[in-house]
Amino acid sequence: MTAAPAPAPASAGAPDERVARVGPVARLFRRPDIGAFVGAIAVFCLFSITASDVNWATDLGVWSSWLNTAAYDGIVAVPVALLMIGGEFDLSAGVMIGSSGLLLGILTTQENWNIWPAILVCILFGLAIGFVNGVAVVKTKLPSFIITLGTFFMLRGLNAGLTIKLTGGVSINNIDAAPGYSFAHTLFASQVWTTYGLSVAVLWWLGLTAVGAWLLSRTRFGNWTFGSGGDATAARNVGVPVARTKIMLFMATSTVAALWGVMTAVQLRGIQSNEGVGREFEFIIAAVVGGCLLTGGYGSVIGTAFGAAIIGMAQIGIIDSNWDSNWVYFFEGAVLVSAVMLNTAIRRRAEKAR
Amino acid sequence: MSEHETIDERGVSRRDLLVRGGVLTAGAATLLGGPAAVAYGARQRRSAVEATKTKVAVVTHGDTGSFWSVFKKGVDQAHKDLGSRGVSVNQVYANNDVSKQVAGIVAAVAAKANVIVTSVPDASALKDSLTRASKKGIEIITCNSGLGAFDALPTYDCHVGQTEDVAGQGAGKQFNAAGAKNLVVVIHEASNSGLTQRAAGAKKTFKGTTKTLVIPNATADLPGTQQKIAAYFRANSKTDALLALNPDVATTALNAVKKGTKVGTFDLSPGVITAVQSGKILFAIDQQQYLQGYLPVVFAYLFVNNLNTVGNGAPVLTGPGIVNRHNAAKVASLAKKGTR
Repeated sequence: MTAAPAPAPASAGAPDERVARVGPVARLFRRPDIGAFVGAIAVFCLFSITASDVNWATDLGVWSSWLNTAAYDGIVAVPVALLMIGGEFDLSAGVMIGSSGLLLGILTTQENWNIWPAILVCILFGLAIGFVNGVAVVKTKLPSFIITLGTFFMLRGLNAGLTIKLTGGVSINNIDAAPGYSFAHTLFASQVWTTYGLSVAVLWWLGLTAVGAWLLSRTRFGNWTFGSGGDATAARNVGVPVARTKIMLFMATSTVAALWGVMTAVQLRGIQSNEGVGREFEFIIAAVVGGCLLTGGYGSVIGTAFGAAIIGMAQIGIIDSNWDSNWVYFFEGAVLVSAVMLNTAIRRRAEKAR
Repeated sequence: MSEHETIDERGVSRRDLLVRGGVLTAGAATLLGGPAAVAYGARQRRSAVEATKTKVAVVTHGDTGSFWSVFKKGVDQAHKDLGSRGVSVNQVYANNDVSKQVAGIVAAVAAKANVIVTSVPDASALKDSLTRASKKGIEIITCNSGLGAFDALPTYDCHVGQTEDVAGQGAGKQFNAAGAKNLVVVIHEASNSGLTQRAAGAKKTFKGTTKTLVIPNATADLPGTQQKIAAYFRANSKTDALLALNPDVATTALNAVKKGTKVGTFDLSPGVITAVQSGKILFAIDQQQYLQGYLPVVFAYLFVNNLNTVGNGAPVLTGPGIVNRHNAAKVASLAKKGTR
């Protein structure tokens, strides 16, 4: 646990094996994200060979395509990874995308709001749902899997029921008519490199990954996260505010999901009530491939970014390789399982060498 | 035995009932003398129409997407129109979850529905529960998908929908007329046989080469779907036509296909209609799902109260209607109301 104070040197004579010097290579291989990094390179090389109809390795249009797809999973995967390191799940992260997008749509098209206050309300909505999730988990001590499964279904019903009640349809269109839309589009949905179609979402993804990685490895909050997920009782005993940490992690997850909902609605200029349903698993897969343990207390945000990159490359590479698309689930599953296996194998090896 | 009794007598095959009812009426007519008997029968029938409660269960695999909301509007309207005549309607939308749909059918049987209206995305999965419902004398109407799947059931009434194969063939012909050579059909749900039939139908009539692109769960991840369609066009640069089987996929695809690609789609949405009007989408195949929701409730009412059956084994076709540049404006105003 990183939160523990550094142990004092045992004695002057015999060097303590716990503080023994570790070579740079061994240290590299002990990182939780190394497996995902190697896996991403392996998947990249695989498609360089199989996607022979396109210049997989050198065409920047191809790069943009899988980077965009990776960003669509990777943005929400950042807080999902942090939450998982903190020992909890959020199954409502997928449907939250739809809820937030629909809220934006209702406020802008039904209530004729300017898009910016509407976006602010969406973010507040995300914070509120995350707070409810977090408090419910902390207070009831029920598994977050159950609590957020409940939130998932409630939001799903709300998405369909409320949208139909208010708009008479299930998709909301013409969000782009709202005042302030054009700047929102520039910020959330434009292409930063139009020649190759690179979406601004990729910058958001990289930015959020940097913030998440910094939080996790450089701040006290990061140490609290590791502590809460590793052993909550021990963490509490050394003074970590476990409940507060977990609630904040839930709030971060819902809020980023809400932000991505806003970004999706702005990009599509409308939103459908089933947007996001089922996506929560892709976020969790990205985090797990990225080295986060399902049991909490261990993981990496940078690894999660590589996990998202693997998903993005798999989804685009399968199509670019012209593989029979009826098998697409199978290919995706196989690529992901191989990546996790590689990940685990590397970690075991590195830990054995210790 | 009056006609009223034969209506209440369930558990016997409907066709038997019809035959027996017919013979009895004829027999009564000869005994009592023509006009009097006819007048008597008509009076009896009118009182039956007023008295009988019709319990309809609409159990479909539909979701909350834009397509099924129009269907639901049809059911709701029929319920509203016939509610004063004793029709009650219960609706279950299983969201592509076949076990949930089966549960809905079982619940409808338990609730003693007179008529079950159901879509059939997967006939073998629904076979047991529908057979059981039929044994209890519940009339079965299939809608949307499922033509021919259950016409062997003794209480099968009719199918209200569009035949996927014929609709697909219609799309293929549209692409021929537009001069396309290489077509890709985007399949957005991996386990819906209706979608594969549409693709097969398009392949049958399309003169160029036809390929399919399966994107599972496409409508829940439209930004990702756009990237995947773009990837397909990169890997298959000769492709010059795209057929979407869902309106949201079609409008998303517009941002992913290369310039000059001829895009056609199944089903309408406000976005599709705007794109048809502006020429970005060549045509939309409309299966008029409002009718698929509205008509079965009416048929159910007519059967329960008047033993009317429709189609005599042939489906009641609600499509394909083609929406193109010429008629899009008229359809647009109706689509705004959510009934097209």
